[in-house]
Amino acid sequence: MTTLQRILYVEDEADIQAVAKLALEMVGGFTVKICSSGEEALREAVAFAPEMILLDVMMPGMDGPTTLAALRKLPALATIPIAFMTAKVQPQEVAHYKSLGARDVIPKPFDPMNLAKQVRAIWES
Amino acid sequence: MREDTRQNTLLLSEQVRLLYGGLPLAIVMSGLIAGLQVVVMWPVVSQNLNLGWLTLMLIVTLVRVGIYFLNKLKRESQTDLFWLILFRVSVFMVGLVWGVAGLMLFPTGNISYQVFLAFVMAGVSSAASSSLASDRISALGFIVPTLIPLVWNFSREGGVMPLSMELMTVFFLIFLFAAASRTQKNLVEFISLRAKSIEQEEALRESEQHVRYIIDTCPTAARIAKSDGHEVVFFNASYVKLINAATSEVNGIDPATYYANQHDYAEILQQLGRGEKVMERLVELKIPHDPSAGNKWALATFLPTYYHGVPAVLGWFHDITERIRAERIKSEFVSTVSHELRTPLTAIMGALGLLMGGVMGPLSEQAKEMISIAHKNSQHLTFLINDLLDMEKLVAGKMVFDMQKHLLCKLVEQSLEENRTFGTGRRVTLTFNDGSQNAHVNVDKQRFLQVLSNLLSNAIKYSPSDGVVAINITVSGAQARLAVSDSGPGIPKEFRTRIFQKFSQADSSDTRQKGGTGLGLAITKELVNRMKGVIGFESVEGEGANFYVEFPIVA
Repeated sequence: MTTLQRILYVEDEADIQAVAKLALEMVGGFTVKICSSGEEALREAVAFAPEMILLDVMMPGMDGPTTLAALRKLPALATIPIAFMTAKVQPQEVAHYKSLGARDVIPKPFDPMNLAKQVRAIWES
Repeated sequence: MREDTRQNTLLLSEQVRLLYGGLPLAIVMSGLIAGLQVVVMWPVVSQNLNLGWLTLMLIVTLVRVGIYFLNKLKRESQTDLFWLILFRVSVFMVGLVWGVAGLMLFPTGNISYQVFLAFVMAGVSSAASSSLASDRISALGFIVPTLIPLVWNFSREGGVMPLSMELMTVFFLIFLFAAASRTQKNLVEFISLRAKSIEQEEALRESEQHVRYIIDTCPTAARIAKSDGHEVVFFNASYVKLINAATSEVNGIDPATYYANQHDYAEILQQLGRGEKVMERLVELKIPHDPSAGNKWALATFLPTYYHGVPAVLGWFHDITERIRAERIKSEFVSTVSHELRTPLTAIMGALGLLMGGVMGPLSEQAKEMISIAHKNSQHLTFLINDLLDMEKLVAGKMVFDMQKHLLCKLVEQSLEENRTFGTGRRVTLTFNDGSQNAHVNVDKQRFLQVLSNLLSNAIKYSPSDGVVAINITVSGAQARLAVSDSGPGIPKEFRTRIFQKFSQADSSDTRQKGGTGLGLAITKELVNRMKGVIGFESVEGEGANFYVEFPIVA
């Protein structure tokens, strides 16, 4: 199995973008592209060719679930593993997000020193 | 007693009505018969006597006419008793005048005319007995003075025929008396029944008005629709308000029009069709003619009934629109607050975590200490938000529990693993004595682990360094008890009664020092109760505390 390298991270909050980028690049050694909205993700994703996509749930405009559905329609991204990152992590909420097509849910706030490990575990599962 | 008085009043009123009602006919007939008698008796009785008697009859008749019109025009000005007594007096006067006829116009020695006179007396007495039947005293007051002089005169005649006439007159008098008594008795019974019936009708009318008033002013909307569910035939003011309609538009409307979910209404009708009641079902109503009103919600109860003999459905609607809207606003608020609080916390904890992890390079000891303090407190904030949201969900009944059968000892082992590092960090040893005998319990795994984690973390926090926290499972009958014991300071006496209340720590500074939120035990108790368990504690101040939870064992 190849190792995970390229991650697309979709998040509207600039501060969380900065923290997550550092955590994934410097701790995890990944190559990370940040998109600030679902619309930007749709424009940039195919060209970036990610191996994993992390999606915030609550975003203005296209929210996480809507963005997931739109990304899945792109043939190049139809089977790429996607995980949601959200504060809403009740079991029934997690089950709902998985039913939309997400592989798993990473709760917020996240531990930046552990984020890379969590993402890798989801990708490998 | 009150009922008797009321009946007597009614009886008196009815008597007066009947007596004065029959007066015109009695006056006319009496006058005609008196005139006929005078004409027939003219050859055998002195003209002066005849005319004198006729004059007397005329005077008395005029008096009776006067009484009649007085009663007709001025009835309300006097009591019924007054009118009755007045009538009795007038009737007695008439009886006396007829008696004078029997006394003064009696043709001595002429049996034919005597029989005619007796026939007239008997006739008027019989008529009086009938028309005066409603008042026995009036009847007697007429019959006795009318017939007694006749009896007396017959007794003076001598002979078989007069004697027979005398006896017949006496028997006739007795018969009329008995008949009058019986008739009055029947009348009294009839009037009593009628009085009762009137009373019952009045009571029923009053009761109907009372019930109608209650229904009309009831804040809960009510309506009756025909059994097929498609035509309203009865409704109250609150129903008009609920569906935002004008009163004149409600009768005959199809209530199905107002259901936001037609499938819901169809289900309700099906259930009613099976003869079942529908109790407190949440229904969503739309207002088609007033979309600006928004949808409404009500707790509806539907009961099969009849309306004017036709099968119908009684619907009660408790309007809870405001409550639902408030809950939705609150829920959205909580969701928004949760997101708005957690978003900056994510950035804060993320940044601090990177610094503490050395990703940004080495830090001075002082810097590390400051960052550690900031990180610890932002963690505390996170726990507090989580606890507050958990508590809100529990109180609102919105927390969903995934109840499954689990091996109790396995759950405890998992919790011990998750908390062992915390214990090690505080130099507290965790021990486990498994007396569960492989018992299973029916719980939500995640929430059960949350309960255990809270009890373990409390025990660890309050244990001295190098202390021991002991976890024991024991089985007693059909119950499994899980106990967590520490050797800390124990529970102060003044705190014991409120230990499971929100933010009820003995000392809030102590809470922060120990890293708690003040909600842990309150949430733990709610979680245990929702999973049908029991929580309690035993403690001696200065000798530690033993918190336990008990759950029924499932097969």
